[in-house]
This record gives sequence, structure tokens and C-alpha cells, in this order.
Amino acid sequence: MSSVGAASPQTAQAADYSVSSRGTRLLGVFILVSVPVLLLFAFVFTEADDTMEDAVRLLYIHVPVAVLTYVAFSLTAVGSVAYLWKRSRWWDTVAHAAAEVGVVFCGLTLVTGSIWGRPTWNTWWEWGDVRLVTTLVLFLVFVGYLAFRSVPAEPETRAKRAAVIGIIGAINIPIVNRSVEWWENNTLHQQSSLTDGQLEDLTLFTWFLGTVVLGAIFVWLLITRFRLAWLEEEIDRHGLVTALEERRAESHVGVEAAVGGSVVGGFQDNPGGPQ
Amino acid sequence: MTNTAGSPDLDLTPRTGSTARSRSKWVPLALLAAIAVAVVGLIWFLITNSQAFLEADVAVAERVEQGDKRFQLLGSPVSDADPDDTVLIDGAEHTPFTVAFDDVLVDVVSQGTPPDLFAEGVPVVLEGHWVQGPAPAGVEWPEGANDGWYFDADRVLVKHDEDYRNERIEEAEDRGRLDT
Repeated sequence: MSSVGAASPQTAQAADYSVSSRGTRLLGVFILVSVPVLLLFAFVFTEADDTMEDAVRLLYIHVPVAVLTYVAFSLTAVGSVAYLWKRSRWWDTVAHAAAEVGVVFCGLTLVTGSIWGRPTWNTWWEWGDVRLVTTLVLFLVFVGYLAFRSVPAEPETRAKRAAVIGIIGAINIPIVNRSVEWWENNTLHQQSSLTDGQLEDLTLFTWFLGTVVLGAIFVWLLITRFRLAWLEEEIDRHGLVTALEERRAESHVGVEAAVGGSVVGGFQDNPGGPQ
Repeated sequence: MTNTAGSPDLDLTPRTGSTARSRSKWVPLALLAAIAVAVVGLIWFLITNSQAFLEADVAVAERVEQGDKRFQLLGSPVSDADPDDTVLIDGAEHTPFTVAFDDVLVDVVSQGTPPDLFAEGVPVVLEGHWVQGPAPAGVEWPEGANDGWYFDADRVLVKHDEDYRNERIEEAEDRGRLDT
């Protein structure tokens, strides 16, 4: 039966090219369940702050995405160092995937921080503020990292140069993080509430819940992006072989159609063709 | 036409048109160049323009040297802003209040009304300059320094601290309102 025979390789191919797994599907279910729980805690169970009022609820998003931004770009740096050391494509893909997810989280950090700033500080943005501008620089450097990776080049050359950019970009992480203490009078941004125990009770728990939920989203995005990037490189590396196979298959179809042959299901009427 | 294996020869003529996959290097390179310029510009601007906030006690100590130079002054209001205290100066609404740092008081006349989070004990950053002379007509600082100087501010920013505990307001009141 040609239909069965035709379906099998396609199914196998689809399985090979899938970016999901049992683990990521379970993680996805956890995220779908936990996001409404987080929203309930953030908007219903916790109270507004005495001075900041409802603006304090941004704490449950802004701080976790900022922390995960550091994690993502640190992972890019680790992957970059490991690539330069081991020359492993796996580490290069880790660095790439972490940078993409990190740019998303860093963008969210900037946006939620700006939304926080308007009611709290009385300004959306301050160009002279050390914390704000160093965070923007961090964001731009890793957008540049991704732009560099999209420049056509030999994969090894591109990976090596991207690794150098990833490592240099990550130097800014401790500067951003420590800026509120090193230049206390050059920023409106508060110092850490976590290290000094300045969050308590339900506020602390909801912050922790936000970190877990956004952490799960981060991991899901990272794994999925890693698999996608891996498959993209597979396609790039095997692009010529695939193109030749496609053209060979077309030639068979064309020849057999010209002689009045019955071609059903592509390769199936041509056992000698590529499988 | 067939080859020696009996299968037809491949047509290896390069394809043209929409199926051809092409990746331009100029778009990412242009983006890279723009980002490099932006990053260098931001760092340069930060290094050359970022001013440290002058704490009120330091600003008072240096006010003769400061003259009418514009700077950012850091202090905490000694009382909440009273909407009834708003006065018209040259046709524009201004609000008088007093800030302190390490027990040193600075009298302020601020354009407009203070932001929502302006409150006693919550540090603020004021942008403006020193003025030496009598208070503008209608302006009074009941708890102020009243020392012949005032800070003319056209921008008020709130520097919220990291304390989100419920007891922090009571504790701040216990410490005394001049502490920052």
C-alpha cells in the first residue's frame, strides 16, 4: 500500500524534526496551570503597598525576569567559553539559544521597569541613570550578538567570533547588578530587597512563586529554542544533500510521468530512489 | 538522458526566482553597526553627563561654589505636601516644601505639584538650582531652614527604597522624620 508506505518516512521525519518532548510537554502543562495561580496571588491574594499602591505588583514580574536575564546571558558566556575550549557545536547552540531567550527577558525587564518607574519615580526613563543605561547596553550588546550570528559565514568561524562577543557582553552583567551599590547616588533604582530581608510574608512568597513560574517559562523557551537552533543547523549542514535528493526525486517523477508511468506517493513507485 | 546507473541525469542548472534561498548579509551588518554606535554613544553619554545626586547637607556646604549651576539634590521631605500651599509665581503653579539630609534642611520651591509618591521621609531627587534671596511672594516654609537661600526645582523624582515590609512606615516615624 503506497499510502502506508508513504506515511511512514514522513512520520519518522516529523518525529526527528520535533522540538517537543515528553518533558517539555509536561513543563508546558505546569506553566499553563501555574500562570493563573501566579496571577491570583499577584492581583487578588496580596495587598497593595501602603505607598506604592498597585504598582508594587510589578515586583512579581520585574524582579524574576531581571534575575532570569542574568541567568540567560551568564549561560551564553558559559556556552561561549565551553565552545572555545571544546569546539563543541552543542555548547555553541546553548549559547545561541540562551542569548535569544535572554534578549526577550531583558526586553521585558526594561519595559516592566519603565512601567514601574512612571508611578514610582515620576519618570519613564532617565538617560543619566546608571542602572537603566547599563541594562539597555546589556540588551543592545546581545541584540548585536544575535545580529552577528545571522550574518552568513562559515559555521565554525561564526561560532568562534560569536563566542568572543558573548563573553565580552557578559562582563556587563556584574556591572548592571552591582550598579545600584557602586553608584548609589547615580540611580533612582532601589537596592536589592531580597538580600536584606526587606520582603516578607505573602509578598515574598508571591515573588518566589513568580520566579518559579517565569523560571519554568524560561526553561521551556530555552529547551525549545535549543532544539530549533540545532535542527536549523542540521538543515544548513545537510542542505546540499537534501537539495540533491529533492532534485533526484523530481527527475524520477518527471521521467516516469513522461513515459506514462503511475507515480503514487513520491518515492514508493521507485524502490531504487532515495528513502 | 540516463547515466550509467540507468537513472536519469540530474538537472543541476541553478534555480532562479522565489524558490532560491538567499540571505543578505547587509541587513544584520547594518544593524550591528547601528548597535555599536548606540552602545558607544550611551556609554559616552553616561560617563560625561551622569551627575551624582548631591545630598542636601553637601549641597548646602557647597552652595556658594555651586552658584546658579543646575544639579540634582537628594533629600527627604520633612512633611507631606499640602495642596493648599500651592502658590502662583509668574502665573505658574509652584509648591513650597522643605527637605533634609543628615539633619540639614533645604527650602524648596518646586514647579507644579509633587508626584503621587511624594511623602514625608521618602527620599526625592530635585532638579534645579540655588537661589539666594528672600522667598517669592506668598511662599512660606513653616518647618524650613529660612536661611536666605532656597532651591528652585523644576523636576521632582522619587527615589523609592528597597523596604517593602509592612512595619517600615511606623519604624520610619519612630526614627524621626529628619533621618534619611
